[in-house]
Amino acid sequence: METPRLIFSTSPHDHTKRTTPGAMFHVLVALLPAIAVSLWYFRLPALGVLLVSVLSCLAVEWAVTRFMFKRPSTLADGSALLTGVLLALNLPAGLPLWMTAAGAVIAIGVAKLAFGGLGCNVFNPALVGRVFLLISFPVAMTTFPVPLADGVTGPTLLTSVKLGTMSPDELGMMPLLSGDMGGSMGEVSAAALLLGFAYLLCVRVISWHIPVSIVAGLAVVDLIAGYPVIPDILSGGLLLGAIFMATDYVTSPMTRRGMLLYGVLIGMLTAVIRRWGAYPEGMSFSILIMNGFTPLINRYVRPSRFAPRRKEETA
Amino acid sequence: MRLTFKKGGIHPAENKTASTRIEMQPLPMTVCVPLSQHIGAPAEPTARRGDKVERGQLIGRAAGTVSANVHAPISGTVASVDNAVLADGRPGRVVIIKADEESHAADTAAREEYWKKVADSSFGDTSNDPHTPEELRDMILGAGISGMGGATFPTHVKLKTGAVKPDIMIINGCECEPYLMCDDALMRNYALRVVQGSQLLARAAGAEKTIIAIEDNKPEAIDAMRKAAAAFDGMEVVAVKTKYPQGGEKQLIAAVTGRYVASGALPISTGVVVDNVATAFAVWQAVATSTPLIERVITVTGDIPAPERKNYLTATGTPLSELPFTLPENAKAILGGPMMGRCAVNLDAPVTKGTSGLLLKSTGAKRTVYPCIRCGACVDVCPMGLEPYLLATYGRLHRWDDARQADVADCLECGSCSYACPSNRPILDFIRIAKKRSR
Amino acid sequence: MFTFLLTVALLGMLGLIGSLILYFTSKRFHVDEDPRIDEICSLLPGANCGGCGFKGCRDFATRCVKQENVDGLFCPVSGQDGMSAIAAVLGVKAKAHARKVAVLKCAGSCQARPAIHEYMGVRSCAVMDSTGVGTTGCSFGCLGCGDCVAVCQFGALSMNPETGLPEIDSAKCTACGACVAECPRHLIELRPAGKNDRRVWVACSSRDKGAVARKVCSASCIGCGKCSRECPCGAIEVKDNLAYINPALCSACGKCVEVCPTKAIHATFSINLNSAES
Repeated sequence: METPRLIFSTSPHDHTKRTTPGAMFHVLVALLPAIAVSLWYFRLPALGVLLVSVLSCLAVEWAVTRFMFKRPSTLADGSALLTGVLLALNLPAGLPLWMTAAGAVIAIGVAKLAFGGLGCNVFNPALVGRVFLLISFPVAMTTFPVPLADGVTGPTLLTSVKLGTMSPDELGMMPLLSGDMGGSMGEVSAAALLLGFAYLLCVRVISWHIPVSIVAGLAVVDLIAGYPVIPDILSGGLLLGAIFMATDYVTSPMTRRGMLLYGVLIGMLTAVIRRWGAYPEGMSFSILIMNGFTPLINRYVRPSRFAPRRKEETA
Repeated sequence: MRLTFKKGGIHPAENKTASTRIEMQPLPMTVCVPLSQHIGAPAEPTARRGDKVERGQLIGRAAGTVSANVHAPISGTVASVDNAVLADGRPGRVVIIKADEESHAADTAAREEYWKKVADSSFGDTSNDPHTPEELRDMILGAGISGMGGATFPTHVKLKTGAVKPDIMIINGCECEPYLMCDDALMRNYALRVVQGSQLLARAAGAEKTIIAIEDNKPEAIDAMRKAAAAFDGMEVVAVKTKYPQGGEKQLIAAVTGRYVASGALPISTGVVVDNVATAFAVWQAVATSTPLIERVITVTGDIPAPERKNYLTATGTPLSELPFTLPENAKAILGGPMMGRCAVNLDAPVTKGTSGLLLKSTGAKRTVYPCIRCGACVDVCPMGLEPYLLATYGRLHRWDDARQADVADCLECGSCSYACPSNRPILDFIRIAKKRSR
Repeated sequence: MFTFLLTVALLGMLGLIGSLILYFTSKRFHVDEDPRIDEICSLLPGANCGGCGFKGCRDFATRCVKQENVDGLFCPVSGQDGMSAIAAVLGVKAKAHARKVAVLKCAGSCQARPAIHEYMGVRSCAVMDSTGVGTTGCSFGCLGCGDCVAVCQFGALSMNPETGLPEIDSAKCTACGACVAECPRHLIELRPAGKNDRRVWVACSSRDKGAVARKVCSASCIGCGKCSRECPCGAIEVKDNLAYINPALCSACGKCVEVCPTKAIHATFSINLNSAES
């Protein structure tokens, strides 16, 4: 044989270094500040919820792909791990561990794998898990431990505002940024979340479009309703949702313009639910609602073509 | 503002590490000249087995409107006119010419003499060329020139404009493909000849203005070309942004003139004709020295030792294996650049008019393919504003009508989508199928 | 109690309004259709394979009714009996139609045609074909990725891991032509099944010159023309270094199968050597 065996393939022969597990990894890194803050404030219970959530998500993913799909394991793509972390950060620190595990089963088993696994789900798995728990166990899901105080629980700012026991400005800026207040594990510290946002923008895993338009949408409704904008942005799950949940690739639109539309509507829906709905918090619901509209947005908000189609020449 | 096209595009690692000197690749003793080195009908052989041919003699005549002449790259005896296995492994009709010691020595001497003359700037001034555009086009047809950027469309056909008279001639020196440096080397070493050729091309097309566009990662080439073009009227050298696929015909027209070629229309509809710098050089050779296209500069580069990464002036028909390189482990031999180049499986196949480079890559482990996570990277990078993920799905599911509706025909197969996909999905592979079957 | 009654009344009203809307919609948009179309549809396989040349089974049924007979129409899946039943619905008789089956015009198994290049990419014949020759030296032969197997709706095709070639189960083949359209190298041909299922075909598509073809594949047709000279029916023609047996003229005697030096001609029956020698 004159020449050794040559390898052939179709073009292109060069490829970006970005990978899907790489994107998941970057999001996990971006979540580290928020995880650190929640572990600092809520201590052992938070660690328990985080570990149970992550381990159950991985276990469900492994078991379903192994025994029901009979396909190779998909744990390596990192998506189940990320869902586990995100689910935990959306739960109150003191949640009973079996409820956490149930949420993980719903998140991975129902919201993700029942639709066909990574890339096929319509709704954000972690949020489906959270909303399932919120509706099934409303009391446990709205019992928020007070930071650094063992066994003491208290309402969140948004709950107090809803009940009329507190005005939105009363807490001041510091607790909102540092996270020294009641709330879900990951949502309390705005500063940690913004740090994560900056990281994600730097490594170009997400673009600014969705988070910024969500905040803008919320601000517009707040201004109309005469509600203070800044505390509304920094409190509750808005930043966690806007930076980490709504930007989930699978369930958000593909084009920049679609992302803007999607973001603005999430922001407005959230503000509407917070102001006039039955729940003090509306981020999860509005993201899930807009997840449902994402296919429609993809269908109608198309990228602009290089040049318009040539007009049919009329004789 | 750096000139570029509106949307999409990628920035792959450039890897332009070859030397910019142009080495003379010795003439081979045997050449295998394919009769189809261009898009369109293969040339009709005019030489028969046993014929004595001279270097530069016509051995294949253009057959039909879209076709190009083929000439003998060396003197010698026609050994056969037959089918041979070409680079992609498929058979094609070729003329095989064998030289003897005597003719080889004579050819080599004549070639050296010729390139000395080309390097002498006092020789071959074509600025007052007396030929009419028609005559120039005939000379280009006679010299068998076809687009040397890789698409190999016969140049005389492109210049024969119909209803729309072009006003701008763009000479494409972008070389946006990573690794390749043959155009860069040509512009640095033969700037005057490229500019003279550009002027001739513009005259042949009837365009008043000539714009030579070069990506701004080649400052030396831009300088050399600016210096050479200074003496010419209506000739401008512009730097365009380094971005793939800047050298795509439609993208380049948009970047340089701001005109956008409509979907389904030909570039000429905007009054612009685009030709490659190597084509311009070949046109000068044809007009000033009556030399047909039998030699070209090709880049040999890739995962080979750095001193071997060079540009060679190579006679067409030279077997690829005669070029000096060490084949890397798990080698993939690519003709052209890494983005649009095609794999060669037969290294005994010849260099052709469209071979801009031989890229030898050592392939690593197979990349894992993950499901599409709808991240939109392919949509972001598509320079045509298409939705590659959707077209690929249509291709995979045999939905040809939907693919046609989604303008699959606009795809220029630049490969940006497959490049950018974080899930390593073979997007372009399925778009190609959809494009082919939805026609 | 009142709340209860109100709920019942409201829901009842809603139901009533809904049913009225449905009733009027179905009246308003009712389309008169020949009931025979439905009847014929129920006789068809419902696979919408397109083997009849129409868009789907319903399209075919509509055509049958429109034409009021089944001349020139044939559902390869239903076969002759099925067509007779359809003709009976229309009150006519179906004409006899020769059954066809798919045959593979390549015998380049892994043994006969070893791989000399390595492919890296999607396992799809169409994709591999777009790169050039494929993994073997033959640019005409089977690529072995099984695109044809994937499109067969009747399970008549399967890849043989031993040879790397698809195998056609002629009993299941309905000659719908999906695989014929899918093969990027046009290696599958629909040929008449023949009397007593006897048929002969050239299992090669290489138009390379004999020596070249032989070098890359030991089972290739080398265009020697022996079969053509041997054939008593004049059914075999050698063109571009490749023999083709015209099924209309072939008597399936099997003489060509014996003389082929590369065994490139395949038959569905075994050749009785004794009778051929006598």
